[in-house]
Amino acid sequence: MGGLTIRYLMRRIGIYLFTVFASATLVFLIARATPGDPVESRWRQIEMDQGQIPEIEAIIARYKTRFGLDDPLSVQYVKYLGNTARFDFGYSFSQFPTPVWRLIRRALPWSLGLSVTTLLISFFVGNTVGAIFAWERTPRFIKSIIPSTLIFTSVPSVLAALFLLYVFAMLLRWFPLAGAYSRDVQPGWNWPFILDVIKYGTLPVLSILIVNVGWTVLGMRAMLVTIAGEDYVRLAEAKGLNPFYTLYRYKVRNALLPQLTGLALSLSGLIAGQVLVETIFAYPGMGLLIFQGIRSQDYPVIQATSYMLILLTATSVLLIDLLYPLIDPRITHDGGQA
Amino acid sequence: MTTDQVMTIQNLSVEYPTPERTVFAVNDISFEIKRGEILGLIGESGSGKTTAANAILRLLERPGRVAGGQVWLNGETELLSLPEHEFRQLRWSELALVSQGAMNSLNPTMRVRDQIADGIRAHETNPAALTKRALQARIHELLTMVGLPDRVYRVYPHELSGGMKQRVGIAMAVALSPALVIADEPTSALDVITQRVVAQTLLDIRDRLGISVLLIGHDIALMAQLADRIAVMYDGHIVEAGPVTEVLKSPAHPYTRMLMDSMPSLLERKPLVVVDEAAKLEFSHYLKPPLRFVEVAPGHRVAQFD
Amino acid sequence: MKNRNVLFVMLLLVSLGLLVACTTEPETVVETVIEQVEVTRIVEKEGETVVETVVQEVEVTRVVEVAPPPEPTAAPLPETPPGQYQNALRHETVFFDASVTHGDPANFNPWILDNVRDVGLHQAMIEPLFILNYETGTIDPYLGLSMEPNATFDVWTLKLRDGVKWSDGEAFNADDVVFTVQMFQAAAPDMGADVARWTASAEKIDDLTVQFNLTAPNPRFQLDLWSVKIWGDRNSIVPEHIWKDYLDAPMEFTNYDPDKGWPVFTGPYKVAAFTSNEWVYIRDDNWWGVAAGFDDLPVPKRLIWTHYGTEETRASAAINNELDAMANTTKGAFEAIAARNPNFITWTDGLPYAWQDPCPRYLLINTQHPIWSDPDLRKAVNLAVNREQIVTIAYEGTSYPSKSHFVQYGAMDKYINALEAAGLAASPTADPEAAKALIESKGWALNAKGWYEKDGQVLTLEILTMEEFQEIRRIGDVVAEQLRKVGIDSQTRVLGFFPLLGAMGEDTAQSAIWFLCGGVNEPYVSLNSFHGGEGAVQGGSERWTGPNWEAYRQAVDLLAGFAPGDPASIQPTVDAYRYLIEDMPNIPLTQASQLLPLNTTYWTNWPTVDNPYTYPATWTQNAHLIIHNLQPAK
Repeated sequence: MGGLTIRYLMRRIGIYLFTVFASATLVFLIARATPGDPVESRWRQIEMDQGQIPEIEAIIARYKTRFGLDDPLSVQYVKYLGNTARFDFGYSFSQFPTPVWRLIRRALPWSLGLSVTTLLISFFVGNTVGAIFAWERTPRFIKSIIPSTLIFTSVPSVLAALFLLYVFAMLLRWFPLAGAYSRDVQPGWNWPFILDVIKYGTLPVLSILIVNVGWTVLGMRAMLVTIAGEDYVRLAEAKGLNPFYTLYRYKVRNALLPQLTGLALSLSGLIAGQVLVETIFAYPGMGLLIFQGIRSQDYPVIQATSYMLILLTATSVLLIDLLYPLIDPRITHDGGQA
Repeated sequence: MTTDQVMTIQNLSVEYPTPERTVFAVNDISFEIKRGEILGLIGESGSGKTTAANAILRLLERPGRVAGGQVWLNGETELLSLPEHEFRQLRWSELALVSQGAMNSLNPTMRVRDQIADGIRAHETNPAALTKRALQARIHELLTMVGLPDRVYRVYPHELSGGMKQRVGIAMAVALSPALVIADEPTSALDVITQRVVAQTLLDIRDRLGISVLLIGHDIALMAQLADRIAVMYDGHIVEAGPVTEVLKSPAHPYTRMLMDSMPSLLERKPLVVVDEAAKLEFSHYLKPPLRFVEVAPGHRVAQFD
Repeated sequence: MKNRNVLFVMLLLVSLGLLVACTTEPETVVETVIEQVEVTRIVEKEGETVVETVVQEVEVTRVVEVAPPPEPTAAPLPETPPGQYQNALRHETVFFDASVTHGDPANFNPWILDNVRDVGLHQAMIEPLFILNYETGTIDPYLGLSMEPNATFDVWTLKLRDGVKWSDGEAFNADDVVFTVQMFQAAAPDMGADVARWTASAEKIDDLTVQFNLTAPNPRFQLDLWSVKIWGDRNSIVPEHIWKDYLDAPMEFTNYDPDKGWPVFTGPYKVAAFTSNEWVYIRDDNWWGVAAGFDDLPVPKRLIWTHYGTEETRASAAINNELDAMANTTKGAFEAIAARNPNFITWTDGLPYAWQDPCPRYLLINTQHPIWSDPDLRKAVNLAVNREQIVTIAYEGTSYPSKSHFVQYGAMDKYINALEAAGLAASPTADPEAAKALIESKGWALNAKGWYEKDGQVLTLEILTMEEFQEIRRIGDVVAEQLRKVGIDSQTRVLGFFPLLGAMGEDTAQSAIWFLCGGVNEPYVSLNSFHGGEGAVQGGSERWTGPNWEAYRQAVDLLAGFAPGDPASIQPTVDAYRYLIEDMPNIPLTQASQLLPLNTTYWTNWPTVDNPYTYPATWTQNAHLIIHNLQPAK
């Protein structure tokens, strides 16, 4: 009855591991399938910035050996899988000898902070507003205001970011233009730093949020409209329950489940939007790391960041899947319905 | 009016305005339900019987609205004109509903006990009855009353069969011993065996608690088994009403006769449509309100149709 | 990409025009007046179409600027006392554009590739031995006083400036130089690859003198290895007393420890703080240069390099005076900035705005291609190309037509002038008729579609351009258009950087828009790039061979022996160049363009074309000169 069974758990984790393995392979192959040699490409690019580099051929040869690019592809692949499993992504090309994991360790908390904040706010605000929007007892004037707050939904997060940047950072100067915290604070668990992080994070979060939240609002509204026709809702009305209680316990509670699935599915889209937003605000997260990696053809960094993002997304989806039975009593993972 | 009547419906009409014309789903119907009685409201799909129930329960969905008429509870309270909050107090405590679809009548994310409890909590005024222990005892008692095992207390709806769900629905409806339970096709989605069990439960409850029931359905056999009196609805009108044995033995209205002739076999369960196009045209001649009724036997009235 | 960016800026400017008008420009007034206007219009008169001009009175709405109220006489600006420079005020701080963020900012090793050097490290801290002056061609002393070769260019003697001190107080001397050379020899090619190759040994003669014994004669030993020529002095001298402990793996040394005062260099600034997109340097009032009589302390008390994500963000920062010196900017963005913040200036006052980057653009042609192996056809292309038009259209006016393959810095004038005098320079305009005549003289005739055709083969020229490089794509489009005008069926094909390198290596490749980061004070480096040997540009995609190439090779090899800028090298340059023009494996087009907005709100005396004490790039190591020259505004 209900809950998780070992068999399901094993199967689900098996699928998860396969997904991760397949994506790691894909990341490896895509990096290799790109025409040309990443090391040479990178150094020629540096020549474009810095003028001719003496002894460049010797440097390129050294780098190829150092990054194992002289090995046959199969050897590279096996090494890569082994290293990736241990989160050893080797060195960054462009910031050699900085290990890639050090770059990721610095970037990941910022990105996670950004996306978790965005997700939580988007989920709570979006679903609340969606519920207000759909509720038959909401005053009409509130319902008429809501659509105008959703104009950004159809806009890419880049444009939203530029708009916010222009209005709130440039014209009004309420928020800074770029970065994650100011040069005047000491990173750590102190209030000036925390407040600074909030201040610097506001516009990036808002940029993703105002684009993202609309879909949550509309999804919630659509779900509630569907649910309003269910017999148990009619029965709840007939019971003469408190309308707020009915709204929450009978309608919203049931609408949240598909919304949660939507949340899991929107994760990857959220990350894509975040890459651009982090780039615009020079926010030192994974998105910016990917962007800089691509710009400087830093393959170890591109591989590692792509892999980490896939891993994180897959893990989140796995977690949501495993949490589902706790939230929705109808879902059981014991192979069938009771 | 006598307190002998739990509910009196007078000239109730429900209209659905459409851009072309206004459709009357319920058209000037009147009937009463006596204390302790099961009144069967029978008719084919679309005849307006569920709409009538919704109007009484004030659960009409837009754009449908009550166009006229009165609904008296216990001969003293007119329900349709009651302010919202006052009516809400009467809900469940006086006027309960057993819902139609067995599959969806319960909230899938709430345990059975909580769904029974929230109706009690919303209306019970005696604080002693609201203690956890009192509530628990009361719910167990209700479940036993409808013949459900104890474990149902803590399960979620998806763990119950259709018949069990419907019995939970009945237990829920009688939790506050209301004056009237409206049972809207309570057996429609169940298999024949289960139908009988649910029907029997309904009868037991009525006998035990003396609750009046407005039983809505299209299954004449079931009506014959349960109802004291039936009223036959067609196209928004009540065309015939009377004691169930009387009406079934000597149906007076041609529609009632058609209905009985086309009684579905026990195995066949499809929406009931008995009137063909030709008959529709014929009926439309004499279904022009106000209908005039003729009493063909004591308490057996038929709308004139010649 | 860049194009879209401009579009965004424009879009935002338009959509927010109202808000802007309300919030930031209260000093303008909109008024409506009646004006007399001349109107030209086409009218039908008695069946004839006539153009007539009439005078009409129309209502005109215009924005009138109202003179702002006179500013109160400025009180003397407050000053930040020594020791608190980290919190220096805005008028004591210079903000620079940083091109990158750094995922691991706590690393001040100058040999980390990704330009961590150019977010302040080599502009504020690492002082070079010498700096090449692009205008005069002289190699100006900095930490080094002089570097003299023997007659055969295989022994060079470096004299160091007296009194130079590392920021921790230790003396900067010959030991550091010798140590650094030895470190390079051990760590090459990761660092100092060219030093390791050319230096057999470095000997300390005395505290201020080092003798370099070379592995082979090299007239460019000082220029190429020890001077800021382009971007930075790759082979920076490091303090022996610190780096000697990291000799095993000098690349792994992060060179950062705030408790020890690291990084230690000789410059007038020290690292004060950094985030991943911002680096803060504060002035070191104990800088050696004052005591040694080298120079005064620079005026700015604080220097900040900030990376603003995109051009839109940079432009916003500039408008808000949060940037003083900017990296390359599109014309559209610069005009948006200048409209909102008129204090921004550029290298030239008005078009082309831009300063020339040392990598001129040219069209290279595969000389082994069946059609284009004919040098006369390549010359016809040269005649069909209108360089002024390329500047006007592809650059919107923000560049310069190339006269030759060389960058047009002052130091190159004497060579370019000689080429012009010899009739070898490229024309700014096209001569389509001459181009057609030349093509027809080779037996090609125009077909019905207007393309030249011979033996059933149409004269086509596919020009490869680079995806990542909008400038190059645009040049390619204009050149293709110009060639189509003379009957050559020319199209461009856009490829990513590395696929492009691959495509250029294929035998079927026809041509590509390319660039040459060659010599900035002498022709040799550029000319040697077409030579096919050491330092050839990306493998010599022209595949140039034949008698002229043989002759060219010899002429260039001869040039190799001249010291950079030696007047005696002018004639050999002309001689070598003649073979290049004779075969025309590649055709110079335009100068590379760097539009670098500079903010005069707080700082003046930026380098401009009228005040060219150095060039206006601030990511390059010559920025030491800019920082020392900056003066506060007012």
